[in-house]
Amino acid sequence: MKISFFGQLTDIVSGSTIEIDAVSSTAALVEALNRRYPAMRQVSYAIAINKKIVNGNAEIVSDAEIALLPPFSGG
Amino acid sequence: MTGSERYSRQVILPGLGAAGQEKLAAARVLVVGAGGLGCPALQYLAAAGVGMLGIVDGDVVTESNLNRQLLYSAASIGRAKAPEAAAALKTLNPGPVYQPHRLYLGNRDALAIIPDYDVVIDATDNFETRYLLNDACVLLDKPLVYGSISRFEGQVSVFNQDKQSANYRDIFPVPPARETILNCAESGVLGVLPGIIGTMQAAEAIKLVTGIGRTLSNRLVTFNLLRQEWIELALTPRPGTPDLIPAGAEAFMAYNYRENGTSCEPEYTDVGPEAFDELLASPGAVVIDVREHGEHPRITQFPHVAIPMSEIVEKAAAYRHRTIVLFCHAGIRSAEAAAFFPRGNKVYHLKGGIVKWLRYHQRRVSH
Repeated sequence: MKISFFGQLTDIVSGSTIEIDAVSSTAALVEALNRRYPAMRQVSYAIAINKKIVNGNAEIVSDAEIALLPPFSGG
Repeated sequence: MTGSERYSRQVILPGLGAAGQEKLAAARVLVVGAGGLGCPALQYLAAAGVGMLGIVDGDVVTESNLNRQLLYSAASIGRAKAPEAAAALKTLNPGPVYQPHRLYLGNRDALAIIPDYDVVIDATDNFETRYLLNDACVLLDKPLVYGSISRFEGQVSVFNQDKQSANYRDIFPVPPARETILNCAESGVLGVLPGIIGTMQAAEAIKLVTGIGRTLSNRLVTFNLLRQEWIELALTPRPGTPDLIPAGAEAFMAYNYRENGTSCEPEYTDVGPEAFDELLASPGAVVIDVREHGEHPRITQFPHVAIPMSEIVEKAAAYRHRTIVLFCHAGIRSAEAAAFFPRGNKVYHLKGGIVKWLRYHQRRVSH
């Protein structure tokens, strides 16, 4: 399952995309990311599934396109 | 004025026309932040003939601003941005009314200034003002054109265009911890990036005013300059968002958007079951049960750590710059526990306690 990263999240995972084993919910996704990249625990981000920002613990269907976006403060 | 040669190239546009130009001439747009995003937004809105432009900024021009804030010149260094921007815009187009507000927007200013405008542009450079502006625009029913940047990337959206529109808290419910944030001074910025994003904000404001095209309401666009890539993401309002926003002017005035406020009162936010669920799902949040060990009901529905009140004093200090979500049986102890966390944490507590949360979910299941 391919995950895309935006902004400073790319520093944490050292790139703009990674592959992880398939997960079925955003809660499981967060947990998997936290295990692999402990620094992910420290940062805020929104999760998009198939180009739609989701809220709460959302279901992730197989082959879904996942993107993680941090908030930007700069202006 | 609307028939003048100055606007002839846009008046001939199909869909805009003389009627659109009249709407622009009658429009009042407030630009909060006259920096990297605010300068290009102001330049294009002034040039387009927006009737009144408010300019909010408490800062002065520094030499390091000049790679991207093109309203200012070398002679502007050391001068206050808001009046300096107004003067520069006046030479660009003497038609519109320019109203400089030389201040850093506070709660009171937001409620005093925003009602005078039809559209607000978020061209700020910090999360405190972004959340303040978002909540104020929700409270006052004003469309907010959002733009932000980080290094080579930007985000643009339109919030609160109508009752069905998402707002900033539907994407990022609560501000991130302070230490995870880079500002322009720390992270660097190439001048063209805020030029592009600020110009997009001006375009969205013009669309809001004239009614042409389709705005970015319920859509967030992200831009990556290095990859020259635009990605559009759909937004929907979250059920828990209204709980996070002060419900009226009085609550808004009492809300502390600055983490390092001078108040000595414990700073925490009451949340109901819905907003609590949102926080449970928000990455990076630490959920803490402050009941004593062995208290019932046992909670297995979501991951959390147990720090009883008797241990909270010594253990709270270990949590710095985190989002803390506290709960107990009935919501009394969790409110008390909030006071023990160091400044710089965002602290939430479940009002009514886990009992209320369980009842809320039972009700939802039985329906």
